[in-house]
Amino acid sequence: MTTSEKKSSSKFNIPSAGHLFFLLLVLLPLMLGIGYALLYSLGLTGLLNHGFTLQYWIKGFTSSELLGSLGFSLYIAVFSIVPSVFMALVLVQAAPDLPLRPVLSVILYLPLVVPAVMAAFLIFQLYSASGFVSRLFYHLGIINDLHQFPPLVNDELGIGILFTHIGMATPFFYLLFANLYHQERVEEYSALAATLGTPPRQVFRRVIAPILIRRAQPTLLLYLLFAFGSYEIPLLVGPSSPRMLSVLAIQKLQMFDISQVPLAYVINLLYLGIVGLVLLLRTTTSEGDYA
Amino acid sequence: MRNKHGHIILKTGLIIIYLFPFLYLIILSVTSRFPFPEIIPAHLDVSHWTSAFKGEGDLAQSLLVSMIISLAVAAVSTTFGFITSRTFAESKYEHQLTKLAYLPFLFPPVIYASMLSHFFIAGHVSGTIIGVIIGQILIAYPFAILLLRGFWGRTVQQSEESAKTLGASPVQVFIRVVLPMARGILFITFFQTFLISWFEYGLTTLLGLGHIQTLTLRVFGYIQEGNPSLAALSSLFLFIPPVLLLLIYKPSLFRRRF
Repeated sequence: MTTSEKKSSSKFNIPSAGHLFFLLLVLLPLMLGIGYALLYSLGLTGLLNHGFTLQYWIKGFTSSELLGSLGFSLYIAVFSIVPSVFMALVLVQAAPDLPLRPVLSVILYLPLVVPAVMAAFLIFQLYSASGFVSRLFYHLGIINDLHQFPPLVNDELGIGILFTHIGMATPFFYLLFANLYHQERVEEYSALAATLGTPPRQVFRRVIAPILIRRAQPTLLLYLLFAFGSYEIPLLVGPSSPRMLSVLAIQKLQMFDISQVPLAYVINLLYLGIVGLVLLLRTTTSEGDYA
Repeated sequence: MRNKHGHIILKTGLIIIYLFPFLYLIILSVTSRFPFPEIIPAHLDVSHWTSAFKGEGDLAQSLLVSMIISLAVAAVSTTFGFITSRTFAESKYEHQLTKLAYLPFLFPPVIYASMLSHFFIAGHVSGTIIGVIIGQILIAYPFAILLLRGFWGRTVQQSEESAKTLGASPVQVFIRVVLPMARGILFITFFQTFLISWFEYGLTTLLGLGHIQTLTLRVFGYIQEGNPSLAALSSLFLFIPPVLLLLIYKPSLFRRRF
C-alpha cells in the first residue's frame, strides 16, 4: 500500500484490534519478561529481594561455569555451521540440480521437517555406545565390546550435538545454496573461470564459495544464533559439563537452591545482549541484502 | 559429479544418510527387546502400535493433548496474525512494526518462557493447558504476522475497492473477496503455526510444569525412562504432520524456486 492509501484506510477499526493484539501478545510480554529478569538479577524483585545489588552480575561474569558455558555454546554454534556450509558448498558444486529430481528432493527436504527432539533421539540411537554404529562395528570386528566404542554422544566435546546440527543444517544450506546458485548465475561465472584456465578447486574457492556465502550471510547468521541458543539437542545428546547457555539457565532456574535463580536471569540477559549485539552489528554493517 | 556413476553414488549416499535413520526408527518401534549387539531385533512386538491405535495408554492421551493445543494455537495465531498483518499494512510505521514482530525470536522459546513463568504462575495458568496455549501463542502469533504481512498488497486493495464500488458492505467484502483470496496463505500460516506448537518442547515444559504431557514431552520422557521403543513410536507420530506439509507444498516450493 502507498502512504496515501495507508492514510485513507485509517478509518477502519481493524487497526485498533491489530494494535491491541500486538501490544498484548508481543510488546507487553517482552517488556514484562525483560523487566522482570533485569529486576531479579539486580536483587530488586523475587524471593531474594534485598535491595539493589550487582553481586549476581559480578558472580556471573567471574563464574568459570558461565564463561565455560558461553565458550561451549560459541564453539557448538561455529563448529555446527562451518562443516555444514562447507559440505553444502561442495555438494552444490558437484550437483546443483539435485532438488529438481523427484526422489532426491524429498530426501533433501526430509531433514528440514524433523523436530529437534527427534533428530537428537536418532543421533543417540545411532551413535551411542549401544547404538547402531557400535553394533555394526562389533559385527565388522572393529570392536569386541560396546565399551570400546568411542563416546560420541553426551561427550565433553559435544560431538553428538555437532552431529545433530550438521545433519539438520547441511541439507538446509544445500537447498539454500542451490537456489542462490541458479539465481546468481554462478554456473556461468564458474564456466567462464574454467574457460580462462582456473582449476576446479580455485573455481570453488574464488568463485562459488565467495558468491554464495556472501548472498546467504543473513541466513547463516540466523542459523548460527539458532545453534547458539539450542536447548533440546544439548539436553539429550550434550555433556553434563560444560552445558550450553540455554540448558545452564534453565537448570539454574529449576534448582532447589534459590540463590541460583538470579544467575539464571543474568544468563538470559547475557544471551539477549549477545544476540542483540550481533544483530545490531549486522544491521549497521550491511545494506540488508537478505537472501 | 555430473556423470551417471557419480550421480548414482551421490544418490545412494544421501538415501543411506537420510532415509536409513527413519527406517531404524520404525525398527525400534516394533521391538520391546533389542539388546547389544543385535543389528535386527530377534523379537518383533507391535503391541505399542496396537495400543496407540486403540487409543490406550499415555501415548494416545499425549497425542490428543498435542492435537488440542496445536489446533488452538494455530487457530488463534492465524486469526490474530491476519488482523494484525492488516494493521501493519495500513500503518505508516509498517517497517518499524515488522521489526518489532521479530523481537520474540531473539530468544530461544525456553529462555523466553523462563522470563515469563513468574507471570504465568501469578495468573494461575501455569501447569494448565490454557497456560501452555497462551505461552505458545506468544511465539506463533508474531510468526503468523510475518508470514501474512506480504498478503496485503495492491491486488487485494484494488479488489476490495472494486467490490465496495459495486455496493458490497465491509462484511461482504471481507467474506466474499478478502477471505477467498487469502485462503492459500491462511492455510500455510495455520499449518506452520500448528507445527511450531507441535514441535515445542522447552516452553511447554516450563509453563506446563510437567503436568501437560504433549507428544514432544512424551518422547523426552520415554528416552529418559530408557524406553527407546515407545520413544521411537512417539517420534514417528510427531513426524506425521510435517511430512504431510512437505508432501502438500513440495511441488509449489520447486515451481517458485527453480
